[in-house]
Amino acid sequence: MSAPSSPEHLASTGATQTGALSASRPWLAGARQALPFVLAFAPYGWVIGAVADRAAVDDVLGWSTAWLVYAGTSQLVSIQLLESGGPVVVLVAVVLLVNARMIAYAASLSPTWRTAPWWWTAVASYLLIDPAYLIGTGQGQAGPTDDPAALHRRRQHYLGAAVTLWITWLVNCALGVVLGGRLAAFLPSAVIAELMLGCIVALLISNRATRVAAATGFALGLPAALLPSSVGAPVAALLAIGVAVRVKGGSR
Amino acid sequence: VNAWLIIATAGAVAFLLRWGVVLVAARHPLPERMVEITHLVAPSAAAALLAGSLVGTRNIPDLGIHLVVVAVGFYTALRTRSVLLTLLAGVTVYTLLEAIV
Repeated sequence: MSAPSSPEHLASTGATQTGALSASRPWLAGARQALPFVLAFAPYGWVIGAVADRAAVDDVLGWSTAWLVYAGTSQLVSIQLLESGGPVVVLVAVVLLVNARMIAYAASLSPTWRTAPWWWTAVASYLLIDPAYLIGTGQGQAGPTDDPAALHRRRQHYLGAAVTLWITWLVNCALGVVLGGRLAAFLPSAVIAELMLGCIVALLISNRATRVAAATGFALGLPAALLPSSVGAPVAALLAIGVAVRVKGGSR
Repeated sequence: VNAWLIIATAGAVAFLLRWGVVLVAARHPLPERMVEITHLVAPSAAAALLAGSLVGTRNIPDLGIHLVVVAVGFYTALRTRSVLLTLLAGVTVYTLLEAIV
């Protein structure tokens, strides 16, 4: 695997220039970098809002999954499980499983966050989702982690992006609830969600180990999707990580 | 049990785990090997979610269209590193295929 600060890694996260550009106004640069993701994920938010509107769940509660759970797939799963009256333990466990990768994202970003105040790390951890991680690792690894000023700029950059993603996500889910299926009907929402996942995978591939992880995750994810209660993806991901680690170890 | 309480619990537990990892890692930095492994989580998880989403497609012609669109999007993202171009290319191909099929 390439070193986190290598140009290869930076290019892989689609944030090659932003680290340098964000020196004067890191918040703004982060927000600007989040905009393509905002646009791309908007239809997904509308769909989730529409699902919440159609489900036999209070509309306000359905929308509130956007800020209580704040992760598209977990929101969908939790609304469906609430509607079907599944056990509480299963719902909590499934949300955790689907979101398990965020724990690893947090670990991955922790070197950049280690000098931040506790409240900042709380906010940043809450706002951590796929695009925020992608932006955070893109510019967050762009220099040494022992320079407090540089770390501060990187954190501002991350927060600018993450807050932008959060606010617009809440607005888009609200639009979905209010307008029901009307907004979502205009767009191929399922395809857009898949496109964005494919895009995230492509942007995260930077070397042999990440290629193997992605390819194995996809290959194992196909049969694993037949597993009950949405556990397929986390199981496939865990196995894929194991394979990638072995491949990486073997290539040393 | 109150539905609000259930959702809030699920969200809170997921958040506390993330935050807990950050707090612990701040005091005890993760070994290099562990950090390297964390970089493998995102591509494998996103790819597995993508596969699961494709399997959920209802019929074979639809699955074919979705596969082609995702392949085009993936290739575009690899080549251009642009989210917007990926979206544009994918939706264009999808619209064309829908019109043809």
